[in-house]
Amino acid sequence: MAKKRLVLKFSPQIVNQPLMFTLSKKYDVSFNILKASIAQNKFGMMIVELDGKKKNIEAASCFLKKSGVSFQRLGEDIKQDEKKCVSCGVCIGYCPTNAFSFDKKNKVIFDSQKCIACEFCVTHCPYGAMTLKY
Amino acid sequence: MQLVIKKIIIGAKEIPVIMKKSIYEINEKILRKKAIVLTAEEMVCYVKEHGVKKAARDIDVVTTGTFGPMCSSGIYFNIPKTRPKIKLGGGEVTLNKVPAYAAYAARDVFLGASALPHYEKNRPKPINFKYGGAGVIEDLVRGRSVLLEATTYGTDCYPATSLRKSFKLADFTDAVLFNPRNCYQNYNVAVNKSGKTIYTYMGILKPDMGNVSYSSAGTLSPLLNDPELKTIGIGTRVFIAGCDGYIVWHGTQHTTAVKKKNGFPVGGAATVALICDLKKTSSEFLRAAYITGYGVSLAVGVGIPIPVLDESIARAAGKDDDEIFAPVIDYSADYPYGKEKAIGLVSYRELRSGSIKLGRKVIPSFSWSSLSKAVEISKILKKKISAGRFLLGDPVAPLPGAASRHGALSAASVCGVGRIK
Repeated sequence: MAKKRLVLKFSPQIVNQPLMFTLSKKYDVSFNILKASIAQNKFGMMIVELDGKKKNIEAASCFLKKSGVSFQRLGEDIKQDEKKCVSCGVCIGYCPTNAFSFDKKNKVIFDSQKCIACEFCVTHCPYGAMTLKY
Repeated sequence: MQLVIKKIIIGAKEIPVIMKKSIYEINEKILRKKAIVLTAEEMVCYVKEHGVKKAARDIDVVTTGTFGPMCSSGIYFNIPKTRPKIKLGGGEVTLNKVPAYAAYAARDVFLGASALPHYEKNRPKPINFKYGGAGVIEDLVRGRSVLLEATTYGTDCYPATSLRKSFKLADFTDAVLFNPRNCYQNYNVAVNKSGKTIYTYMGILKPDMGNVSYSSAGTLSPLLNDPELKTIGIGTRVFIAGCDGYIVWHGTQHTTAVKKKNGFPVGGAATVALICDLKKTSSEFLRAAYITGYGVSLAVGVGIPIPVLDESIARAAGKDDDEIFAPVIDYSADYPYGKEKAIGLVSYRELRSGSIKLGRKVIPSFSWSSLSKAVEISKILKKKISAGRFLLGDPVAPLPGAASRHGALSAASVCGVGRIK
């Protein structure tokens, strides 16, 4: 079994299609929607966690690609600007999924694998060190 | 340990003073690059390994550091002459739309870190602040242009009634960073006992004591390394925002009448007012901090060297995080109404572990003070002193409530005898 967190982007043409249903039904992949913003005639965005056999997840990813959904792994677009970060650790207190921690040198490190892109750190980092683009 | 007995003369009396070193002697060693300097973190290990007596004998200076938001910060500057001349004093001045204070002479302006442009104040609450006085200060330090807009009433000698011009930091005749208050000796630990999230200067506090926040560098915190203020006073040279600066006065809200535990105040106590040349500061150690739902603040990095003059100073500088305690205060009901009553006391060792225990509840903790920056500052200061590039300032006057350094010192100061030789 494997887990994969993806940021999916839907073009306005395919926003109305039941892609997630197909994904689950045809590829036996369970999905957990962590975040979604979809409106008619506009680009849609969804952050999902796919859970299933590695083989099935890969097949499901191919299906999404073929359907015109562009996607990338969550975390790739979430950046910690090390020049802005002062390693105070406020984010450690805010993050609901404990994606931040101190390393041995007391520098704040960000584990994108744990991130669910709630954007709390992006909004509330006092030094504007977290950015999220998708 | 070999104690040196010195004599000072006050009036007709000769008073023996027992002490190991003087700041003067340590400075001589610094100039010869022979001074033994440790950071406060290293001092903890040294004292644990070798004991207080040996530490007092061996170590000359302990360097400290802290980096966290301090709203009581600002700058004042003097704009170059304009043609025709303008009298800003009494007029209205904004910098990038952030209001500044112009009630001095013609070209002097003061800008506070927490100043806000009108548009920021009108946004929906809790406001996610994007810009303010501290942002302007950081922009200037980063070498960016800042738009100054002024309107005033015009006089015969200063005929202009308005000014709209961009300035960089280098354009100002003078620019000075001034902290009416900084380096709180210790501080509250904030918690929220209410049922809803609250937005405070100690951060976003989750309901039902869902988290606690604190803001102190603990063992590295400058004034906790000299809890009785024996060596820190007016005239002490410090590291501030990347350059050398000075303690010019006690900070606002300074007090020494605070309960103590293990010799260290429990909660906010002594503070210092600091000054330095803004043109020499670095954005590495001076940053605007935007606190959701509260306001804009300026994080300033400060390091104060502590001369290890005797065993009591060595002991204080060698204390560990588990010896310093801070009071846990409810920021939902108690703090706002001035009823600060400690729910409990926690050590910085516990706070740094990532969670604290209050009664049966384990609460995650987070810090506003950057430990890595504090360590960096203490190391920079150590390097500068070791290389003979930073001499200790011998205070010209003590801070209010300070313990006398060698018994007779304060008497000597009061009598105007001058430096102990």
